[in-house]
This record gives sequence, structure tokens and C-alpha cells, in this order.
Amino acid sequence: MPKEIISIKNLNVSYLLGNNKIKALDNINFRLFENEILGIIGESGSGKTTLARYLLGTLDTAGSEILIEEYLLNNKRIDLFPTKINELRGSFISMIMQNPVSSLNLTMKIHNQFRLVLKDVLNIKQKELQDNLIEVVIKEVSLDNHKDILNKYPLELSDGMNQRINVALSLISNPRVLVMDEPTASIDKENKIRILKVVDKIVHKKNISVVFITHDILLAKKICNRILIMKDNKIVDEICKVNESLSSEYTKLLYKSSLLEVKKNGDAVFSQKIIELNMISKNFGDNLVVGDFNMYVKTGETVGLVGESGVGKTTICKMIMGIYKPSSGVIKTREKLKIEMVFQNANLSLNHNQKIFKILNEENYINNKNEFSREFISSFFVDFNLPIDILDKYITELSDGQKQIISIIRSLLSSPDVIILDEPTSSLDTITQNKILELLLKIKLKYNLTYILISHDDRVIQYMCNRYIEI
Amino acid sequence: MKINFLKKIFIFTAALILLLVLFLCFYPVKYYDIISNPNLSPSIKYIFGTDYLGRDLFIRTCYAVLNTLFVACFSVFCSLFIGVVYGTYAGYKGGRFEKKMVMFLNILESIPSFLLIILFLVLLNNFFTEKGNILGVLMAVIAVSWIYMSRIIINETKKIMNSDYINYAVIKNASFWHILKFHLLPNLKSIIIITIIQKIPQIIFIESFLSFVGIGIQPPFPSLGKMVSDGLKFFRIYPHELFVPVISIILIVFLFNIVGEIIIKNTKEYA
Repeated sequence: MPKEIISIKNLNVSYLLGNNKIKALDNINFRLFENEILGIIGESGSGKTTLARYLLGTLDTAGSEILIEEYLLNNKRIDLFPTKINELRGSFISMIMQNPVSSLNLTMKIHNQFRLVLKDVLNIKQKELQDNLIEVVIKEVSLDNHKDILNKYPLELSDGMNQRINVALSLISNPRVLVMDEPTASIDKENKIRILKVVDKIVHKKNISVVFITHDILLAKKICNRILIMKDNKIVDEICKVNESLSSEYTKLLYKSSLLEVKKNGDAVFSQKIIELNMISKNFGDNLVVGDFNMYVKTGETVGLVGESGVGKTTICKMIMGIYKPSSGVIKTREKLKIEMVFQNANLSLNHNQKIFKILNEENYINNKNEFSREFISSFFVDFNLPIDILDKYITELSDGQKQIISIIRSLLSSPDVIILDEPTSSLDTITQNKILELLLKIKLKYNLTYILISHDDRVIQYMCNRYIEI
Repeated sequence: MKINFLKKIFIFTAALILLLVLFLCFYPVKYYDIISNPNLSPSIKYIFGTDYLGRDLFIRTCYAVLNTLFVACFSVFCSLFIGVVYGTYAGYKGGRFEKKMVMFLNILESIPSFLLIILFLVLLNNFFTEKGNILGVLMAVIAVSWIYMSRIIINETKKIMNSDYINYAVIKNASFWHILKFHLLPNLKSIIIITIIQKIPQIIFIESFLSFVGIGIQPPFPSLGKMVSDGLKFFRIYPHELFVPVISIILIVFLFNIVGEIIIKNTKEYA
């Protein structure tokens, strides 16, 4: 029987908003054993992050009501957690956040960030000793030429590197438990694999237990020993191995949604080229972003653009849209071709201070035309199963999926021929992702659209695209 | 509900000021009328007493408060208008143009603001002698305070200009006017309200200081600063002549700070 490291009995957390109580965690019971990776899976808003923050004792006690029967950390009872857990935080339990850059101090060189931890948590002040410890831990997370990296600032490194530095930062104090809150969500595929390898390595080598929070069931399946499924702030299922014969309905749904079935729609023949890019290059100052790029798009097809972050996918699309002008090369488009773009992050692409009806009508305001009638807009809402009363709400009142749908509807309203989709689903959880991808295919047929799809997710590319271009 | 609350505060303040104006319009005694013996102590007939010329201190204080409020509010709104136009346009244009506009602000800001105000007042003194130089004070204060406003607005505008919804509008060939009306102003709303609230007490202080030194609002027009400096002369014998204006300044600034705090709290919640 493995040793128990964390045990939580009957945890209830509600956030207090004015006079309202909003339930964030409902009767949570779980145990974490030594040397295991425990996955916690759920859609966004299911309470994963609240649980992680409770474990670390960083929940805002003034703004929330916490009821718990028992919280054992390494068989020590923790009562009023903000006071007692302070001593354990860092040295016993440590956390890695979702956004690698914002969890580092941007104004400090990397080695200084390590020194700060060593000085404050471990009370080691000799410089040579610090250097040795840093070197060891940097090697552990497989960062080569560490001398270079240590002398840089976080913004000079890639997201993946920053995340590995975060892992190293929490490892340097030798914690027994590592809580990782979606550590790979904002990172491209190759770096993701590297980080997962690092996690796997440290668990076995350094005898650490990991609580791995994610919304990606396939990822969890790969690396976790045990998985808890959360829905509506409750733990609904606990499984040891993900396979087809799963116990709960919701788990089945989650698993199914992660495996998009690739539909082969035959080898459809597309004839007419509508967009052609010829030896396009673009540089910002001395920085060459896109070099000699060729591409064509034919009517009715879906073309994927694949590549790691930072290779210039979005720049190419912005050149097609006409936001940037290419430094050299020609972009040919068919005459009177209407191109629309759906941006990556719906939170940034829709104005928070305007009602949705006005957002959808923006193009008319620009061109001094009459507003679209509510009936006209609602005919699109039917396609997406959205209630029509959303029109009088603000963007902040919607869920992430709904926001992205609004952004898609906005591009549909002007009856375009081509829609450029810039990672339309990357910030969503798998179930919502699938819904949106299905809807996109449906409306493609209905309105005779052509898509250019940017993504770093193979699953999405294979599901959606007729062909793809790797950059 | 929160917006209604703001409206209530606004209506309350506006009603208070309107009442004060009406009262002063219909009250037979004016700020320049000498009504009784000089230097009377507060009594039932003259609640704040009289000053060294025998003018009713209560009436003078009321006028002074109105003058101060007028200078503060009007100059805040004017400088805000200039700041918003300058700031949003600079932030919207971006690049080299914005750098030049920020450089201009830097040059202006490098001159100590009180020096600039005094310079302006000395220049304007000859033109706006009637109405006690209120216009001169106004222009001098506006000339200084718009710099701070536009700096804030430029920064906020730059943040907003990075969003994809601006990109979308740019793709659709939107004009500056559309972007200003549809995107910038709604998003700048809360920061504008907060700046107004923070700036008003500051300007009240500046105005009082200028009048105290003697280059602000000129007599016989009453102003709190001038009343303080007058009261100071006879402070040992007639302390009420000093206390009345000083307490009024403290009360106004205190009130505005409190109202500001309430408004800021409420705007933050829905922004």
C-alpha cells in the first residue's frame, strides 16, 4: 500500500459575491499517494483551479466560504490553512501555473529568480552553493546550454522554455507534491512533449507526487496513473485507466469528444483557384517573419496552416486580409472576393463594452448602412443553437464557447466567400471544441464557404482540412 | 442598479449646487455689499460673521465655493476634452507620429507646472481683468492639466488598439471617428470617470493656492484662497475669518474625495 500524502474529506467552497453564494467546490473527497501522477479533468468552470488553489492555501478566505472536515498533508492535520500551510508551501507543496510567462518576474534575470527562491525558502546564501544547485536542477528539466539561459530575461525565452524553468523553480526546493494547473495549455506540441517527459522523469527520479490538472483527457491518459473527472464542481468519476468501457456517461462523452472521427469526404476535386500567394515574404525591421511562401486556395476546400507558434501563420493570414502588406511577392485574389477572419481569442476580438447586437452590426455602422434586422440575425442563431435574447447582453455574460460562436456569426453576416479561422478552438475545452468544429463544417456546406484554418492541433487539422501546409 | 446609483449621486450634487445658485440669485445681499460693522463674530443674524470690510462672510463663502467649483469642474472637463482628443488620436495613429506627440508632452511636462501657471496668469492678467480674472485662472489650469490627461489616455488607447476588435474594424476600413465612438470611448469610460474624480480636488487646491498668493481670482470677487489670506492678517483677533474659508476648503475636498471613492468603487465593478 503506497503512502498517503494528501487526503481531503468533504471539502466545500463557495465564493461570496455580494449577497450571493456561488458554489465552487461541492463535497470533494480525494487522496493523493506517494509517487503517483493524479490527473484532474474537467471542462472550464468545473472547479479545477479552485481545488488547486485550495491545496496550496492561496484561496482568498475573505471572498469565499470554506467548509472542510479534514485536510491531511503528509499525515499532518491542517486546520486554518492560511497560517499553517505557509511553512509547507514551497518546501513541501509547490505549484506550476497555466501561463508560464506571467508566473515569472519579467524584470529579473532567470538566475536571480532561482536565487530568490534559494534565499527565501531554503535559506542558502553562499553563491557557489546556489550555482551548483541551480545547475543540477536546470539539467533535470533538460535545458541545454544553461549558462546562456540563466543570463536571460523570461521574455527572451520561448513559452516552452519558460514553463520548464517554472518546473525547475519549483523543483529546486525539493517539494514532495507538485500541483500543475494546465501546464501545457498555452504551449505548442513539441514543447508539450518535452515538458511531459520532464514531469515523467522527475516523478520517478525524485519521488514526487504530481496533481496534474488539465482539460485534455488524452493527455491525462498518457501520463496519469489515476484520473478524477470533475463536472459541475463535483468529482463525478475516478478511473485508473481510460478505455472504451468507462463507468460514467460523462466520462464516456469526454473521451469520445477527444477522439474526433476523421470523415473522409472522398477525394473531392476543387477547380477554381481563388487566392494565390506567390513568393511572399514579410519582415518587420530586420526580423524576417515569412520567407518566400507559396500557397493557393481553391473554392470550397479547407486548407490548414500548421506550424509551431511564432512561424508566421497569423502574419500570412493578416497579409491575405490586407492588414499587413507583404515586403515582396504578390497576392492574387479573385475579383470581389469577400474574406472574413475569426480571431484566436474571442475575449480580445469582441468589444466588452458594447452589446452583442451592436457588435454584430459594426460593419453597418462603419459603412453607414441600416442595421441588420433581428430576424436576419436570429436565422444565424438557429444554426448555432443560441438563444436570441443574447443579443441584448454583453460579451462578459457569455461562456467562452458562446463568445467564439458570436465571433463566427459576425464573420458570416456579411456573406463572405472565404473565412480565415485563426486557431478558433485553441482556448476552449474539448467538448465545446467539438461542437464548434461540427458547426463549422455544417455551415460550410450550407453557405458554400472556403476555409483557411490555422491550428497547431493535429486533431483539428485532420478533422477539418482537405489538405494542409506545414510551415 | 449601479448606474442608477451614480445617477443619484450626480443628481444630488447637481441639485445642491443649483439650490445654492438660486439662493444666491434671489438673496438681496451680494458678495460686495457692505451690510454692517466690520469684523463681527458669528451670530444668528450673520452666521459666519462679517469680514474686515463688513461684508457677510456666509454669502461670500457661498460665492467663493461656487467660484471654486466652477473653476474645478469646468477646467477638468475642458482639459479632459483636449486630453481625450489628443490622446486617442496619438494612440490611434501610433508609430512615429505618436512618439512625436508624446515627446511634445514630455517637453511640456519638464516645465514645472506652477511656473507654467504663473506665466500664463501674468500673461492673461491684462486680458481678463473683468470678472476677477476667473477666465485667466481657468485657462492657466487647463493649460497645465490636459497634459496629464492625455498621457493617461494615450497609454489606455494603445492598450485598446492592440485588441483584435480594432483589427476587425481596421479590416473593414473604419474611420477614426467610428473607432473612437464605437471602441475607444466605451472602453475609456471608466478611466475617464476616475481621472475626473481624482483631478477635481487637485484643481480646487491649485485654485485656492493661486488666490492665496494673490494671482488667482481677483477682489472684489470672492475666492476661498483670498479669504484665507485675508483672514490670516487678523487671525489673532478675529480667528473666525480664517476658520470659515479653511474649513470650507477642507469640506469640499473631503466631499469630493468621498464621492470619488464611491464612484470609483462602482465603476470598477461593471468595467
